[in-house]
Amino acid sequence: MASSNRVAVVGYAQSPVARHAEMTLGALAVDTARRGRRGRRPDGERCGRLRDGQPVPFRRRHAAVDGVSLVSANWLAEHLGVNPRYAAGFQGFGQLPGAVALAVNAVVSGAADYVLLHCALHNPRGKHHANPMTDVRGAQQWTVPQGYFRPLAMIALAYTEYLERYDATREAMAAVVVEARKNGARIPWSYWYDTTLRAEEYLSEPMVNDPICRLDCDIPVDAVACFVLTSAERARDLPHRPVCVAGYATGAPVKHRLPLHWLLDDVMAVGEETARRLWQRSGVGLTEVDLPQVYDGFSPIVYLWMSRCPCGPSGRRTAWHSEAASTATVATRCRCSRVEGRSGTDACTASHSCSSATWSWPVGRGGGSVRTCPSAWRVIPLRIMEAQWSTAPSRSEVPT
Amino acid sequence: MSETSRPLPVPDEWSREFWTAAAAHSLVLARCSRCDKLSHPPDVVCPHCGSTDPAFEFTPVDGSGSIRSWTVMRQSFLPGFDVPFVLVDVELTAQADLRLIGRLVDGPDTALRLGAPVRLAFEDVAPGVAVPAFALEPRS
Repeated sequence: MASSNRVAVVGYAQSPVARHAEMTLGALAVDTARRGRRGRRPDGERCGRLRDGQPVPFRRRHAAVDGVSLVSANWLAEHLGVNPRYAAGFQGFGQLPGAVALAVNAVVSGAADYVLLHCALHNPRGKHHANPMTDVRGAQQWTVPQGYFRPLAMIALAYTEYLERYDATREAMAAVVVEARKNGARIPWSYWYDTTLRAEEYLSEPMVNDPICRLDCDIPVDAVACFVLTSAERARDLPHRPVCVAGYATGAPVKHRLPLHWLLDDVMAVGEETARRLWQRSGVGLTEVDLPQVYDGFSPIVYLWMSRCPCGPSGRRTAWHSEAASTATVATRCRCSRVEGRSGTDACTASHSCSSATWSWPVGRGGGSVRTCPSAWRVIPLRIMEAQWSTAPSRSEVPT
Repeated sequence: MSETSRPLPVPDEWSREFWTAAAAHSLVLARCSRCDKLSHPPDVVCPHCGSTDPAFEFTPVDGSGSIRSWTVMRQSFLPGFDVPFVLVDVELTAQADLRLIGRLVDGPDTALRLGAPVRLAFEDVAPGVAVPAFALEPRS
């Protein structure tokens, strides 16, 4: 790809992460953007402004106000007192990755020498997702009168189908969620810093929309993150170690569906195609990936992406939940069809002591491909806000 | 019929025939006049043949199908819904990959499985307003 490794992230800053910030979102964004620009060419004229496509919180009778419930690129530029050559907001699937793609293209094309990219999340007070609507117009009239509303039900439908089709379990998902919490707990500015979650706690959490419980969801917060991007060439003279963008890719379901209707097959197909595009454009081979990081705003999405992503062992594109579990308590299935809590290279210790020691990944009722468990394979899903910091140079460089 | 506080559809030029038929407990779906395929919901461009002038005609459909997925809603986020209730994602037999989402009238404790056959039902939610729903076929 023409833009591969020509643009680098050279700075970043993060606001405190709180359920409800003491400042308005706009003020939080301005403070964070000032910190992000510090020492990284605070020249407003040569700088572009980009905003990711974060959802506007329309979930109740909440009038969206720029600078309060969302922060547009133009609002931020105005309140930073600069007149950028280029300002834009991303529209489409992908949100932050989509905004990064815009930023890369802005730098490569010369539309901007430096890009300040921000992500501002707002959590209005009140019950999340609740909406007192009494009549429904437009596209939502096809689903809301039936009670189908907001993303939880959308994810729940896809997840139910996944669990049923692949014989996956919430016990295996517990390992993913517990591992994610461990990562969040390690990050000082995370909402979950220094907290723990046990699998038993996850499994005893009441359902919201079966099979989704509260702990399958990211926690709504007020928070802002900013990144500064410039050309790899300019990055050489800047104080921080640059992180080059090797490539980007997006994908979206193309079939006409009901509103918020994500079919399992649609989502998995998009994940596969997006991954294929990403490998192709970045030129990064599967064996070079140390840490695949996928969006896990809802835990089941980890399964949905990774099951079709050809970054699993041997480029496998089948059910992924067993590998997810390998990060903690392994729940693989031996050729003898007994489920055991052992790693894939161990001998089967089911009661009849199958000696084959070859472990399979179940791919559906009545079928399954037999593979040896690659126990070295390790995936560490991170939570949404923390996930943006995977390329951070070191903990000591985190802005305070 | 008791008054409901559930959100009610406001029919428009794209949906008026659908909701009028639903009120009479009949399911009609948009059929493209160019390629004869059903679309739900109807769109500006026919998703099957790409016609920008699909001249959709609403056609009666029997509404039987099979469950492709489901969820038990224990919080609804909307007014007027007594929880828990079950939502099912149904692939209609009328056409492959044609989906309709509705409540399952059998109740939240019903044992479900992928592929279970269902038939159409309707919920009368207000005078002159009925919403498509589903019921399990007896021997499913």
